[in-house]
Amino acid sequence: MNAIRFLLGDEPRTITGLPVTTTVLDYLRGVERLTGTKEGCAEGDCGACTVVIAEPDGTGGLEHRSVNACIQFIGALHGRQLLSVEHLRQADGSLHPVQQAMVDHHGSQCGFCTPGFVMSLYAAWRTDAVANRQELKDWLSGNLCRCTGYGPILDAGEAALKTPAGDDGDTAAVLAKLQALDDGSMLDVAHGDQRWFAPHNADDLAKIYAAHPDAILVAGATDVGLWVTKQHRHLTTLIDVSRVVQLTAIKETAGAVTFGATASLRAATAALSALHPDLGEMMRRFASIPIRNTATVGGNIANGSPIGDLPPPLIALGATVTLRHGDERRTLPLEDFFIAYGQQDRAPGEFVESLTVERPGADDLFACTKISKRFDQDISAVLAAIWLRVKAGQITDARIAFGGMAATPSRARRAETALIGQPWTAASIETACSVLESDFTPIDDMRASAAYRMKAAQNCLRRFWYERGAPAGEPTRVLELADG
Amino acid sequence: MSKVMSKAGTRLPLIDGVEKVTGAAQFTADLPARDALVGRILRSPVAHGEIVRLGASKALALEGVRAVVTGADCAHTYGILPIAMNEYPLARDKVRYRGEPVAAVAAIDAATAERALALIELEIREFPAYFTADAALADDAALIHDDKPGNLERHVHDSFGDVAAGFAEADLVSEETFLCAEVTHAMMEPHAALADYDREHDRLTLHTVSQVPYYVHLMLARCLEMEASRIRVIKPFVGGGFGARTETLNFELIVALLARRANGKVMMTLSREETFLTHRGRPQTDVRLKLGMTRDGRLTAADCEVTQRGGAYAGYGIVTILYAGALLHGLYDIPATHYEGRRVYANLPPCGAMRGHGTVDMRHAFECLLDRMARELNLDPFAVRRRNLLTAPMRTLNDLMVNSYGLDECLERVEQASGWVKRKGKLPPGRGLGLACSHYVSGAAKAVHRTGEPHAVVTLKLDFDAGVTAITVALAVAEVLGIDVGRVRVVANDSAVTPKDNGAYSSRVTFMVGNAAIEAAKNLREILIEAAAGKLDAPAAEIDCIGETFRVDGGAQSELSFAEVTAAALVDTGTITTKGTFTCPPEAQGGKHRGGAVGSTMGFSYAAQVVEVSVDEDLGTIRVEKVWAAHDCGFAINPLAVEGQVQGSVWMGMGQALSEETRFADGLPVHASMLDYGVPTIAESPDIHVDIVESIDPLGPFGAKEAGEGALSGFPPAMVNAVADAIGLDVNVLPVTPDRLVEALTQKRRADKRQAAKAAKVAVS
Repeated sequence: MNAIRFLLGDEPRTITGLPVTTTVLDYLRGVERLTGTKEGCAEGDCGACTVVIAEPDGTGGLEHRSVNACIQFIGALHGRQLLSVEHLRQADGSLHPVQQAMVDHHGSQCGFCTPGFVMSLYAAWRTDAVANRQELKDWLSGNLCRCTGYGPILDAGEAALKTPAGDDGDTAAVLAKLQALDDGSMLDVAHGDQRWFAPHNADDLAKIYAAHPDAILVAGATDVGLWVTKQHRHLTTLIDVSRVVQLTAIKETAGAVTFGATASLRAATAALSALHPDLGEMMRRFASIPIRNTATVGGNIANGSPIGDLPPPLIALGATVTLRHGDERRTLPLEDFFIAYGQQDRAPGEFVESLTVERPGADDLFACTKISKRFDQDISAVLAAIWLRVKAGQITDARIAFGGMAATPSRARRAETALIGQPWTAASIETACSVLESDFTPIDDMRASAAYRMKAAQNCLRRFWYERGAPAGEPTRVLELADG
Repeated sequence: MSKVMSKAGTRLPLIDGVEKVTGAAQFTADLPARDALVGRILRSPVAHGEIVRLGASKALALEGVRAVVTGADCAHTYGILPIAMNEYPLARDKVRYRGEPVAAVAAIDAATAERALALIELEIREFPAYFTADAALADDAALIHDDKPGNLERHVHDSFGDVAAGFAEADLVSEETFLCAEVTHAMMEPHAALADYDREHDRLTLHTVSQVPYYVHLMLARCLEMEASRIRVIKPFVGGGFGARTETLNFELIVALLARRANGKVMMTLSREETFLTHRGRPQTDVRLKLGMTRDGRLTAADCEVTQRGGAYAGYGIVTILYAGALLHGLYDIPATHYEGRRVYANLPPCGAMRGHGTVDMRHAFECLLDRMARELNLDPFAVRRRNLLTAPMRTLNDLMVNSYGLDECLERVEQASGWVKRKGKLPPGRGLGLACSHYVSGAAKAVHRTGEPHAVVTLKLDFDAGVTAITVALAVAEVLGIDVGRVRVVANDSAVTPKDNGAYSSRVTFMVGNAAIEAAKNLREILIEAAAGKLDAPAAEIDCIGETFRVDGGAQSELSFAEVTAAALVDTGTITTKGTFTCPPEAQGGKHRGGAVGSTMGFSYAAQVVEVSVDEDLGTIRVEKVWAAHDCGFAINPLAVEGQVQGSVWMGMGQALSEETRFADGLPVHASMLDYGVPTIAESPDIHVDIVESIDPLGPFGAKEAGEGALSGFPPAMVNAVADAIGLDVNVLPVTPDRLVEALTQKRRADKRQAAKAAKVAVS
């Protein structure tokens, strides 16, 4: 295929003459003159641009995902259906139940964020994804509103989601139209000096990437999108890896879980929660639903950011990462992948293929804590992940990893050493807390002070003892702060 | 559609809700502008310096560039207060903050405009820059404005009553200093404006995001040297403002300059970062407060010193610093006050008006200290506030009128709703309840521009099919006319169509425009009654219109529909227009002392709220569990809207208390994204229970007062008081971020240990 083809509502569209890095938002507003979708931030932080993308779910139905149009490139639309707020009116012209509920409950004041909320609610209605008010809150956390305090929107959402969820009666027709759009061959689009590839299988990806080692791999574009909208970078060769079937799989066995690199964060949430409930709680606060719908496990790692939330807990759980270059594969401990700030152990043309995590065993204790100024959708000031193996009251092994404490996600090697071979007691933990100060020299920045980071990291260790180790009757709170 | 018969007091959904949920509502950036040029601004990379060279010829020569403007193109300052206009749309000679506009380009597309900006040659000789009030106030600091010695924009001294005697009478005198970080509006819609200039007729049309198109109109006329009558300002749907858009903003003038230079249409949309840079938010404010109190909780005196870091230009600054002092009064009965306010210039984006203008940080300090003193005297937080209530009607020490006062009932409601008596002091460890009160003006009684014109004007038009065209406050109009609110078409602000009006800020719309609308509706009603009287052949005095039906008193058989009466009234006259005006009487416009007009209003709203928190001492995180707010809005014309406004205010206060703050590194904003600025998401936002209290203000429209600002300033102190209740820690810094809470906790434990050691020593010796 040499052109991006998709459905806008129920009308087929073929994109020609646009840069491949045109965002879906700019396309909607600029080309289609559909201005209901708003630009509030152009970086996926506010949700005013939320739209819904539908595609075949592989089982004869459609899968609907809310996404941030502001950081999605138009290539992401290929073979899919794009729905914006303008497409929700019923055939008879009446409002969709989610729209009607927003009117009835005064869920809109200035109205600028409203189309985004409507689309998020529509995605929830369409997929029956929300069971209660708390889940509705989590679902909508990517949509900011500055007027209402959110209460009326929650009321509207609850009312709307009581109406029967449905397929709007259009599933079969949409599936047929989508099928007609795409011949199944690899998408290869050129515009000026730009090139956009979208391979469907891992072998094609390996081949293309080896041939274009300077290409940028795009999965959810939740970071790469900002290179364009915020840094105004001109990107030339891009490879869309999100359609590579083998890479999206999540394989669960009794002993381990293997995440394909492009498994979305949302798709990975259940498997992560099953590894440990703390990971489920972290995922609840990890970006918004539209971001989690597109951002990927592999992206959060390969990106090499010091503030990614997945690496610390996965390092603590001893995850390994598998990289592929052409037909060559290699597997290494995840922590070794991060070499220094902005530098990873990844050769040109090599890509992250999968990530494997063993399930904690009966003797393993684990905790993961995300600390941020804002409860959710915020970059962690500290992300602490602690894994200990305790046998007969002795700590036999330890992996303690932190985000926010150094230029890369890093293990607290000295604290680990101080713990291994020691009895599983408050005193051992206290020693490790002192040693932790020689592991890291955190920095002061807008997310937290250096002193706070160290104290919070130590308190996570102390709390780990109180919550996981302390015999009944001992305090369950850290009552004394270090150096008090 | 079912027909909801409007009645003031009816819970009515938004009139334009359908447009908003379907995406049909057009905001400025949504306006059709395919034929418009794209405007972009070049901003200063330096926080303070002299422009040595600004060369635009290369940019102008670039193909596709239609206009370049610089400071040389506008020699007029603009601003809000006639006495403090010291800002140019584009910097001339000097730049005073990083991000200040220095030049602008209009080109055929965004890419060309961006390329043109890069071709502008800008050379700046740097001066020392000051990013804190202390640095700017230092003896050896260079002047940011030559005419402002000491970098002091305004120093306010106010004294009322005998302060020394008040403190002498007190059983307890306490003093604390509170540091409140700068916050900003972060409305969801980024700034945008569309200007269209027609050279043949010398006419300019500007569509913009303004809350006060009238002020923009005045500043366009001033800066472009045009007759005001040649300018038309239109306000499409506006995506929030919260005070950011009450002043004319630089981009509104710049886009007009570009359109005139290009002789065409220019669309300028600002990025989120630029919107943060344009700012005008609540300044960083340090409050030192001393209060005197008798053993039974009666306030005897207040001494308050406020320093605001105002940024690089005056903006609303003088009003902000005056407000902080003026609204020490009007909430409680305080026999003596002393106030020192300093508004300081700094090399940062200018501050301005933000929801709860001037009062929020002062109120925070006051309500926190009041609670601590109550604790020391073993008094309940409710009791200490009840001990100091006012009795309306009255005039405050600084000559502000209090005509209605529902604070006692607000206290009653939140005490009940929160289960205070049963729950306070009995919650599990780490959990606490806190209380605070607040108040706010319903529109400033003295207009910014003293033209002698009314403070609000509303016109009504009646013609086709008995449809009434009103400017705002549709419900008030419908109520007076006795018609369905759906019959009232509201025309948003368009200076070519609507009367001159001071816009939507300072909580003035309901009170002032509402009163004007009622008068206009009454005038229209009179005409209709007269027409009905003619048709029904009965005296006008005996005719009433209820439910769109005109009837003669006493149940006469004949009746007329609203449409029939309209048709009768139109005979001979054609389209009927009526007008209503509202002007605050001189006695409401404040005292004679310098700055006495600030804080003057026809009606103060009152609010009380209880906040429940859980605090994690290990990590310093605070979770707001629930809020109970009661707000005295006089009368709730639309309770659904009042609840929405109160919830929104409380919630915005929560952002300021928990996470929001602007931060600058050498003048560079490091908070300038919706991620880093940190407005709360839905996930951490608590349920906010709202009780409406109706004190029926004698002068408000149907007794109504403001509902959209007063509750904000209660949240931060109620939360900080709740934290004290939860973990015994008094925090004096906003926002209470995890690192600040842990730092305060560490300090307290150190102090407690020292104290204990000292006590032990004394015991031994």
